[in-house]
Amino acid sequence: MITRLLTVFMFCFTAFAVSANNGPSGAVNLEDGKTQISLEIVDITAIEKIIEAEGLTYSELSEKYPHLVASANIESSANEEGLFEKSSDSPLGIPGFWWGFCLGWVGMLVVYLTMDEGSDRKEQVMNALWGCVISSIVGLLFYFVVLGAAIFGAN
Amino acid sequence: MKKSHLILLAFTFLLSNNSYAQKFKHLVGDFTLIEKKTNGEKNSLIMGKIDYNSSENTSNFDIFFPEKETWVLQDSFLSKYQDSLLKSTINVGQIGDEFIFKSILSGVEKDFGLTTAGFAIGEIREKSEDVIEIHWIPSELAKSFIKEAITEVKENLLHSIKFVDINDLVINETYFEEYVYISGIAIPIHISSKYQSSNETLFKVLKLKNVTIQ
Repeated sequence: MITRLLTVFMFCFTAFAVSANNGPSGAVNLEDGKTQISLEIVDITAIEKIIEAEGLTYSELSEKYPHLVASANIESSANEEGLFEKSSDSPLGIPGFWWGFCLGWVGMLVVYLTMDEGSDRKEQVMNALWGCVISSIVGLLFYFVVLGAAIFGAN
Repeated sequence: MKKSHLILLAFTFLLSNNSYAQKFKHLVGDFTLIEKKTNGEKNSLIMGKIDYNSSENTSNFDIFFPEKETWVLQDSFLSKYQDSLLKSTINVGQIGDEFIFKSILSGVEKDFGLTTAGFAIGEIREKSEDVIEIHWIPSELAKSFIKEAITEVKENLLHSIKFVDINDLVINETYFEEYVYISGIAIPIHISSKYQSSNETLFKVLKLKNVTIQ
């Protein structure tokens, strides 16, 4: 019951957010990218909340909330390809993710400039982009850890 | 705020680098990874716990959704276990130690490597009382497809980065949100990103929880 209420709440929140985000003409304010991203994943976020509350696997979730699973259109198994895919066409055979992870935006440019136009390039560039983001997070965490340790050490 | 103060603030932020990165050893935390595509392909939700050990150069992913399984990433091999039984081992690419090691040693500069990639600081604006917006001009090479990059610093924390192509389309925007303080240090635990091409959009969100660091 709680999870159903939660789902209803999430959809109501979405409707409210869309309404609040509309300008006088009704056009969505595309400047607010954060809001757009949140709205796009609201159905998946609802599932995430259910998983956190009930600890279900995909098969259990599909059985209990079939409509929610259908509307979210999520994969039934975790796929490593988004993060760890390999591509024989990417530069030096190294996946786009790692180009982005190791070389940041330079890596992304390398992928973009060395691959032929097409869906594979697009995917590799996106993975390079994701690599950049992950790498940035790791980098920031490293920074925070050591700075924290330094502060603690000083105390 | 005076322009000179604005520039000073921006450079203070950018120059506070993470050169201590190599001292990091161990990170544990819960993660949620969401990926949504607009081209009709399946979306993705992965939830689990990550345990990253830099001294052993391994990443363990204890995944509990969509299925309970464990991934172990070491060097270029990703091994998948279910009920402690090895399901598969995949070579995820020609990833040498040197690459990862280099990345760990160098970390990532707060300018997202823009300077390394040949970007130069253009205009610096005070967007609001506590937000500084920095416009980056791409290198000659990148100018063929990128018009500019824009970073936002809010209360001295990295808030967002956007890339604008030559057609004024924002091809990527990434937001660092929900900073939490661990040991008095701010960590962004909600990172959301949107990638826009001419015919499809990809949304990715990474959330972290219960992060501990040693």
